[in-house]
Amino acid sequence: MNSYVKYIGKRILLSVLTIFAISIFAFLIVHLMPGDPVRTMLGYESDQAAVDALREELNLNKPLPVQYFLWIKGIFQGNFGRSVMLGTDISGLIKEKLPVSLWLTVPSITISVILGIIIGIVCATHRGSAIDQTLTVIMTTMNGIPIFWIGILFIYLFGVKLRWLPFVGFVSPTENFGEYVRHALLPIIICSFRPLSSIARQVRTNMLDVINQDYIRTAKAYGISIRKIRYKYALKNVLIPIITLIALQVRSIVGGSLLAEQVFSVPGVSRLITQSVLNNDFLVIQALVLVISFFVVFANLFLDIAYGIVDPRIRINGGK
Amino acid sequence: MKKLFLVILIALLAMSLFAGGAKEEEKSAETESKAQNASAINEFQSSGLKATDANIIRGGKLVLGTTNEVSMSYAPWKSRGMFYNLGGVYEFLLMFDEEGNIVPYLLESFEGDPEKLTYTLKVRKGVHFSDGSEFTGEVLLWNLQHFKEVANTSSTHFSSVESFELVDPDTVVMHLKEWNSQIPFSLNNLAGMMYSKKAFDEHGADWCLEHPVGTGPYVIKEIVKDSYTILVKDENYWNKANQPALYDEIEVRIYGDNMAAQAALLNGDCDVFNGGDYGMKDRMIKQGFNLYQNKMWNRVYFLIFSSEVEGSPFCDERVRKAVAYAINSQEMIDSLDYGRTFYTNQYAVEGTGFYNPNVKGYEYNVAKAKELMKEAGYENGFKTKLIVGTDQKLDRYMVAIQAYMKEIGIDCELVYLDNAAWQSTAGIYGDGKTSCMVLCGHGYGSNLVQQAVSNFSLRAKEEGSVGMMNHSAIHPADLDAAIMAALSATDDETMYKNMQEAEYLLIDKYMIAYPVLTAYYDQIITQPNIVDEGFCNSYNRGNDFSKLFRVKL
Repeated sequence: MNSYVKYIGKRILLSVLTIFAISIFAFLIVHLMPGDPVRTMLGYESDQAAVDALREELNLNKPLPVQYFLWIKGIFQGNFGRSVMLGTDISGLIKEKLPVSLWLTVPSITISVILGIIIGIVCATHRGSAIDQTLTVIMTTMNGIPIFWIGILFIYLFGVKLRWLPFVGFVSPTENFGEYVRHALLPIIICSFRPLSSIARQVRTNMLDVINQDYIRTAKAYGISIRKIRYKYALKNVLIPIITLIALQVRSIVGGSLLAEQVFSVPGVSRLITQSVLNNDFLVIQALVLVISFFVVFANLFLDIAYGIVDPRIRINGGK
Repeated sequence: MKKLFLVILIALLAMSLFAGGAKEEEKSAETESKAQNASAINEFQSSGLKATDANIIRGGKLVLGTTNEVSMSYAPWKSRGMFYNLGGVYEFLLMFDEEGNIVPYLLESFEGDPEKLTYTLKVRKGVHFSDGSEFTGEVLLWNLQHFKEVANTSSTHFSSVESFELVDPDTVVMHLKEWNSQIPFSLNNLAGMMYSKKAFDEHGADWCLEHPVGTGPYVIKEIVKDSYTILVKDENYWNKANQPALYDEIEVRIYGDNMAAQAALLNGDCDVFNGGDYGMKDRMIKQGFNLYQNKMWNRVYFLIFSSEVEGSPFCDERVRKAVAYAINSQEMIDSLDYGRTFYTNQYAVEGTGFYNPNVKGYEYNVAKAKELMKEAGYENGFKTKLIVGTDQKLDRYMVAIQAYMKEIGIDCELVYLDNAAWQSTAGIYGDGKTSCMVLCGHGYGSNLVQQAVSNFSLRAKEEGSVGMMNHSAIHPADLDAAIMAALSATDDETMYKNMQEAEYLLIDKYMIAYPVLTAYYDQIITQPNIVDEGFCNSYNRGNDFSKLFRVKL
């Protein structure tokens, strides 16, 4: 147990260092971007006096290390600063936009994981059959199809022709659950395309590998039922690489899905990032990069801990 | 098994073809019906629809779609011009009437005295803000002073203002350092939007940035940035007897994508859309939707040359003129913009006082262009950069210009700059070192003189704050003198005369910037039953929702 605690401690320390490194990277990359953020924010018709005043207000006339220190100091005080483009407090902005993205991406990842595992297992256990081939073709198509194009197609089909679903905007489920479902259904489906197909194909491949392992053959020789072998012994081993795959999706959970948010005009984090980058709203970019990185690093930390639980070899040797 | 599969496939194909045919017929009938409705609308327009007309449907909700992204503020002094969002909330001190004459609106009178260098503004009695506070001389004074002190565009509008003075409870006098003929136009722009002083005093500046409080017929109910803004009718609107709010609610909705906006128009979710490319506009008009545009405001796409960069071929005016001759603007308009933009050979539109009929311009003539290149010593051409900002979505023009330039031996490398780089010395300002051409969209209208000062005067170069490639382009003294004389003109005739002279110098004499083509600045697509009698279809800078009628067809 001691080595496991040591292992977790080491992982936490590495996570903190990673976030620190990302904060420097986020700060530098934004400040090295071409163009004058103040001029971009105020527009090219703005006065020099207004430009100078804003530059002073944003500490942009101070040396880079001082700017970085002031930014980090603000974060520790719970203050990400103010978006000059939107004129609002960035913490409030993140609080407003993040749930919108989460309400799209969490259901889409959940659906992708559940369906992906089911489809993967069905394909693997019916290898070479018509059902395997059909599902494999569908999954490959879903993976290859341009999201933007399918989004437009869905809008035209379900929004314009059939008029079943609205295709613009977002309603929070806490306000009106029915309207949330109606508004979010198409974006959620679109967001599920890639992860669902990736997970299904990965599960299928892993399952096929595992069911050809010696221990499965031995289990069969012992007369253990096929169902028990598949779902008790094989599936557990199949899921280890799948956990990694799911953890990788955390980026999209936090960052939302850019194309879905763009096509369906969902005011989430992805649209905010895009606009902030285009308009050089550097404080928002820095804050969002840091927040998303935090989520990803935290997810990876959680994953490392989960590995230790799922695979005892890791917790025994991991601390070294 | 294979045969059965083949039969099923053929049957499915046949069914889809028949289904498609039926849909086509249905679609054709629908289009015809919409086109008939559109012609009915044209009749309404020609007969001059008024707010009192019995055909107008009042109440309900109007959805106005736009692809314009969020702005930094909803207060006039920090706004970048979100006129669609703010059109129902704010009103202007001065407005243009249907004939294009500027008339007092929130003011009872407005008089200029060039000799005394003053403008006298008298407030209209009975005007109040949506928070109930009265519009008085003191409020007017505060608005003007506050705008001058803190607005991002203060110098654009008020650089020639020395001070403001409250001479009696209803009258403010604007004292000028030099005569400025453009002040009236500024008062029909951001500088003329009135904000409640009471709201400012009670809540502070930060609150105001998020909460517009004006004198208009609507108040903001909800703002979800980058998503929608909802305006509702102000029951206590001061001018409701003469200009009642037509709708109970207006939603200004942001569409992330033109296709989504088009779909929303088609299924009736959106009543009015501001945005879209010319292809979309063309398709919508063919389906019976209406297109309206502003009468005064245009957007010229200038090709500006680095005419003052050491070693640049563009320092030779013959090269600049060769470029102008080599571009077939009309072909670009017809083939790239579905004929929905237009060509004007100068920095003004025919029919306005600024237009100089004696400007010859540069009619498409490749032979002449080649001749000029030869004279300038560039018979074999040269390599250069053609720069544009990506936010302007001008790819189609860039590729066309590149092809025209190739005809005269100029090898253009196309450079696309994102917004941040574009709004810096690399882009629109010019870095003073790079030999290049920049393609730049530039909006102008009633304030053309002011814009000319910002873009082509020596003052703009010295201030370094605004302008097109002002670090890289020449600023001839005679052009500067003509522009500044137009600015300080004490009567319209002198202003127009000087501006016309500036047009000649800018285009025929120096060819500092070539006006590739011109687009209407504000264009909206409306449902067949929405008639614009002054919302976008006007001379005003802002948008008056009381002139956007939903009618019975």
